Amino acid sequence: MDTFKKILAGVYLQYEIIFCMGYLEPWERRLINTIVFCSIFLMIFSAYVFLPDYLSNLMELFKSHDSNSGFQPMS
Amino acid sequence: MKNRKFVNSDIEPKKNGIHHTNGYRSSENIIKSKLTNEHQDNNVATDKYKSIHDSKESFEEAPLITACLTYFGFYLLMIIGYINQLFFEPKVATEKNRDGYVPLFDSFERFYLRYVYRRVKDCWNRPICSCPADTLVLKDRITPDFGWSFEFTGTTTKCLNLGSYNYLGFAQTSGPCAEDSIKSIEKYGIATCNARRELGTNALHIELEELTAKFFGVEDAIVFGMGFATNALNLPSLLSPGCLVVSDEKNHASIILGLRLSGATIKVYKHNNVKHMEKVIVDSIAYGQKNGKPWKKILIILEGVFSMEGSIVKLPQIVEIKKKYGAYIYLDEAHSIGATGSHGRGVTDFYGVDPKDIDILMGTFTKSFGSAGGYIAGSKSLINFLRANSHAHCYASSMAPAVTQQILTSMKIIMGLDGTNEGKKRIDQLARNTRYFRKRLAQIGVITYGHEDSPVVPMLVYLFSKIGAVVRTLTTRNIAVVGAGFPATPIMEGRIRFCLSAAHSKDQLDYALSVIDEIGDKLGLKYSRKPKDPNPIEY
Repeated sequence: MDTFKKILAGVYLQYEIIFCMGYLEPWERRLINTIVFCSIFLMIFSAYVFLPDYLSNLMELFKSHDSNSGFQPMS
Repeated sequence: MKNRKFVNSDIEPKKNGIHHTNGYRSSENIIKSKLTNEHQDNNVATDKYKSIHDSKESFEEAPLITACLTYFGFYLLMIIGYINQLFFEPKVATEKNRDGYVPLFDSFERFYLRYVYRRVKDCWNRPICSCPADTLVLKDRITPDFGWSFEFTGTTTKCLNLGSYNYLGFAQTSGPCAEDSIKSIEKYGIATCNARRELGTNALHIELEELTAKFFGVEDAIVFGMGFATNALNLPSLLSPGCLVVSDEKNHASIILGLRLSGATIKVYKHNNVKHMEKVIVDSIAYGQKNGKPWKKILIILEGVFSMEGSIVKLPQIVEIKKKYGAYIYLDEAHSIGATGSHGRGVTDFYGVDPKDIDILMGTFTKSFGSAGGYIAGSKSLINFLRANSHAHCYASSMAPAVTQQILTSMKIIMGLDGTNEGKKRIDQLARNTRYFRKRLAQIGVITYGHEDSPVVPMLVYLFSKIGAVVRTLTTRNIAVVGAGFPATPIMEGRIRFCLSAAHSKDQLDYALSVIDEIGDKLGLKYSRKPKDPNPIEY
């Protein structure tokens, strides 16, 4: 548990360094955090909502290729 | 083979060409000297210098991901800055009721100072309240409004000093230098209150000029009260429109200011790149001035030790080029005088070049001598010309007596004229400190730039946010260092600059290194991909 905490602290420190948190005023920090977490949330949300449909569509596309409804060799 | 090249400094006469693999940038080929052996002795000698000194100098490149993150962080700060500027009134001077006038504060520089640099201002402009010896006392301050203003808390912090240019440790509150300076105040007072050409010259100035000339082994020397002005105000009197100046891209601001004031044509060559310099000179000679006339004169201008890169100029090769094309050399030894060479006489001493081959030797007394001011040394005719024409000589107030005495005493100590081997001891101590510190840093795994004998040690941290993080963390651990970022360096290359001193002891360096090792792990400064020396480094 302790090592997990340490790793988490390290990740957070790197996040702070990359986004220059040490230099920003509180409201700017909040702004950046909001933008970053919103975009991450949206990505996860859209993946959760849309990805299964996309995948099943894709699978069907491949399946239809296997059966002879898609490409058919000219004869 | 590639690895060995960096681990030991021996000569490897096997491979040819420039390598860009693994992020290393090793330069120049060594085999050439073997092939062109039939050339004159001179040529072989410089090739030997080349191979020895190139392998001691390193400029390792950053990993790609770091470069991307650096730019990302920088643009982020810029965007936040623009948002700030758009919505909030700055807490400093604003323009009111100026409709119809051109805005006074509109440049990029102003924006940068207010909205980017201001956030890390606590890492710079730090007031001290002690002698900047091996340790110094920082005055603590807090900023209630994120860098717009500062308040003193009334407390102080004693820190290990890795930021002052006190190379030979002559910044002292006691000892022969301090005592002599006090005596000189009793005799001459604090200031001369006049320029050299009028009533501002006293016996100390004359003695100092003679001693400086003797120190360098040249005919004559002239001294000025300010190092920056020595460059900025003497270059315009040496150059005029129609002259060509070939200048290193990393030259100091004082040189650039002087060159701009002079009106001469300035051509810049890549940092410490002799081949590119030769190409620039050959091209310029071939094309001449814009109106087709030949150049009045060609001046190569360079620094001994570059203050931001920590590299040492490749002097022997440049002297050869100078002789080949009939150019002049102006060598700024601000950081190298006292700090390089076995007698402390700068890069000419370091390479064993005859100082008379350098036409204009310029330097400052601000660093190694623990004083203030600058000098120009060279031939009698040059110095007489400057005595007649230099603005700094005619109009600037002359050097203060105590300051002059400090230089005299410290220079005598360096030369061994005081009858002890104190000077030699200090030079050796600095050389040992430098090598030890640089080797240990390489072992820790951080990227440092420059030559292994240069006491200026820039440690690359790249990210703009890491400069502040490192300086702040080191201050909490009682180490005072100086950070450097854009615009003093390229955006990509934020760095921490350590300046070593003969005053540092091994214990102090070990403490600093252990802290750097620790925060290197924490903040991720260990970028180097070079093989590390597994053996403990000897002091």
